[in-house]
Amino acid sequence: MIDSWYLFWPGWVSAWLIAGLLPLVGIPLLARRQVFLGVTVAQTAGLGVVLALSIGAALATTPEVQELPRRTEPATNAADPLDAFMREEGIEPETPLPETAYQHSHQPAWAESNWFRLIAAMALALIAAVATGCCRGDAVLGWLFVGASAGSVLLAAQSPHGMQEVERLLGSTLITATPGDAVLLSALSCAAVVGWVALRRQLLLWTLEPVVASAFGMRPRLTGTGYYAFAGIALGASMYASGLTYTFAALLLPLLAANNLVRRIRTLLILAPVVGVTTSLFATLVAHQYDLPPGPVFALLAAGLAMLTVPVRHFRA
Amino acid sequence: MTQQPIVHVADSVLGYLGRSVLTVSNFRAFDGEMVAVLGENGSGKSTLLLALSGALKPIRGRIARDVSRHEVGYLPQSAEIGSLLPMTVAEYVSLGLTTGQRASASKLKSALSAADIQDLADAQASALSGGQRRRMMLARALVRSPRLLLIDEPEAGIDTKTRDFILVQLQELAQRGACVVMATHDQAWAGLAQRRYLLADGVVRGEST
Repeated sequence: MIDSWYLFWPGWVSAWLIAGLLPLVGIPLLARRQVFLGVTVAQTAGLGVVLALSIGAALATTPEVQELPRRTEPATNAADPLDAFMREEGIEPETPLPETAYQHSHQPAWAESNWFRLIAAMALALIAAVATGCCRGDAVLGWLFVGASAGSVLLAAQSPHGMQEVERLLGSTLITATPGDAVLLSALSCAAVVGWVALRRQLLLWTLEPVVASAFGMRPRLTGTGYYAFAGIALGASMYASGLTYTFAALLLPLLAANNLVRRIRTLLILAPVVGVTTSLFATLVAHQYDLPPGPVFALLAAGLAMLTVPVRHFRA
Repeated sequence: MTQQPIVHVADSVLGYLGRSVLTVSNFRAFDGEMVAVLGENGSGKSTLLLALSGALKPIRGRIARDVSRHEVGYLPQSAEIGSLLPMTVAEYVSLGLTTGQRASASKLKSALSAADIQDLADAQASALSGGQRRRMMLARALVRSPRLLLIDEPEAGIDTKTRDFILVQLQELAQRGACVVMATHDQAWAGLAQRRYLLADGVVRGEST
């Protein structure tokens, strides 16, 4: 794992950060019986990514047909870590391009950037989370999930590389996460920790009894909007970096496992992220060892752990 | 000198989303007294309590309050503790210390003692019986050291022992200068109040002292 660190670290670090961040985001959702809001918002973030790809494709201009220079030698670059890795692994370098004419379209730089897709994912997720946060029923969440799923596939079908992106988001391979994603997720993790430390009682009272919170002088609507906006941004960023399976698994499963083990909410706030990060560390190790996508490995490990801790809950009760 | 009411509702219409539930021509409550709000189910008792707390804005009119929102205690009819999160009784009671309130172990301890649940401090909140839950909710309201305590149907789902205990606590609180407003069906509880309001047909029918 260490020898591949320089190649995969953004994906691994992003995965660990998501596994620490999302259990903190998920506590109010679990208590308010809104866990499916998590998967719906994540799916809507996926729609945002595909929408950004489509916008980029729509804005693309096609230049004159041009002749590309023929490459006669295998394209290797000693300084490129990917080429170095391929050489070490004995993978054949890229075959020379055939001598032919290519037509290449150009998108505006901003439309091609990762940040554009990430912002689109977070924006749609934020809107979806704030709009559906007030709904206690599953029907609206189901409606939005189906709409976002179908919309993603239909848009992707019309967009170059669109279906690849949909597959990446569903499969949770984590290989496309960037250092920028890791930095953003670090900032969100810090914000979640600070939020819980500073506003623990307010958040819990709003979660459990918003009417009492209002009678006690809180502003539940403001608290709710703030929480759902943050949840939307966190889920959008996680979805973009890690995909649907990993995002939903990280939101729910470490929290369920920790919930079965503790008697105090205070302990839950510490243990849930610890369980998430530890499981994620182990999952990335297993995935790397057996060449598997880390998202599904994490989901299965965390689901197993949550199931194993159920008897502890009964014993504790 | 005339005493200033701690809360005064005059010529106001209360309700939700623009739909009128209760018309109040004159409602007053003073420091150091117990006030009973009587009425059938659906007469608007809970609506009036929420408006007194400041959680519900009147559709029309205004509510004058000589008390900070941080000095208001509120006991709803039932507690939404939920069994999905682990939470001890002490943690639940400490949720009363949300805004403008400093958390301290002594404050928490004294609220638990006042509600006679100090032995249950480490018990799971969701595992308590109905009467114990009511005491726990009372402790959460008392931990705020309220000047205005609003209780929605204090007689709901409790045994005689708990009922007598809560009554004594409320009387002691009023003797210490707080105002206790309780919405109730029970004439026995109403009999202890210095001021009574009857709600019927969407209006506050009358005041008796």
